[in-house]
Amino acid sequence: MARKKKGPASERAREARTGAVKTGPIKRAAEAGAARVVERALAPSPPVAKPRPVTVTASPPAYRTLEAKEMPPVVTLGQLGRTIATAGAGAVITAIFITSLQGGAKYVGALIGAGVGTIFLATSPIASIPSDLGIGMLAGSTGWLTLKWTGKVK
Amino acid sequence: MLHQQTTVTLVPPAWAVRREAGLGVPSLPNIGQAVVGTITGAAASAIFIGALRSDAARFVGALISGAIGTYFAAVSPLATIPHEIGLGMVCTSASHLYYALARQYA
Repeated sequence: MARKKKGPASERAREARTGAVKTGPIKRAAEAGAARVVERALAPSPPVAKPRPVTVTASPPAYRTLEAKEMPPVVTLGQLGRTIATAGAGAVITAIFITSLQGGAKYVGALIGAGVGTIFLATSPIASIPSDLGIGMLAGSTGWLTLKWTGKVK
Repeated sequence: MLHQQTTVTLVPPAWAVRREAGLGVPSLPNIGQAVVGTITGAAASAIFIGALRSDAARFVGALISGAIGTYFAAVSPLATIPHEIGLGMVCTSASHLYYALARQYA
């Protein structure tokens, strides 16, 4: 006796009874869902934001004061070197001038050096002479006077 | 008929340069502060160096004072310390180095 071929209705009944889906929209939906799950599993995880390194620059208080006044805060090495060299030159010039004098004339020379240095500091008579030269002359005269009063220099 | 009179103000060349550059002219308090700061630094450095005993110690003291003055001139460690104090220290150290080399110490 030939077996009766199963129809679609009996097929759906068997699928409902056994839970195994072979064909039809239910199977396609199940396959699509499984594919999505696999895709999600295989997909690279989204990049985790790494904490950015924070650089903190510790600046001296005078720099912060300049920054607060919106002035250029940083003194470059060239500016500093020019200032030191010019001021030092003024001091040495004054020292040579004072020591070249004799006796009480040294006092007068120191006072003259301080006066000329103050004028240079305030108003450079020649535009190309920086005021740092005047600071050096004033400081050199003051240093010599201090040394003389304490009896440390000839 | 009115005539407009032109007023000519004579200023030192450095001030004229500053005005052309759009910078202000130093006022009397500015100058006074610079002078006082310089004198203070120079005197402090001179007292420090003069307090040392031998010529060699004074030479080393002048170098140390010059280094500290350079640091003060570059970056005032306290905002209230003007950098003129540092410049005064540097200048006095420079002149003391000259005194040491020229054997001017008593």
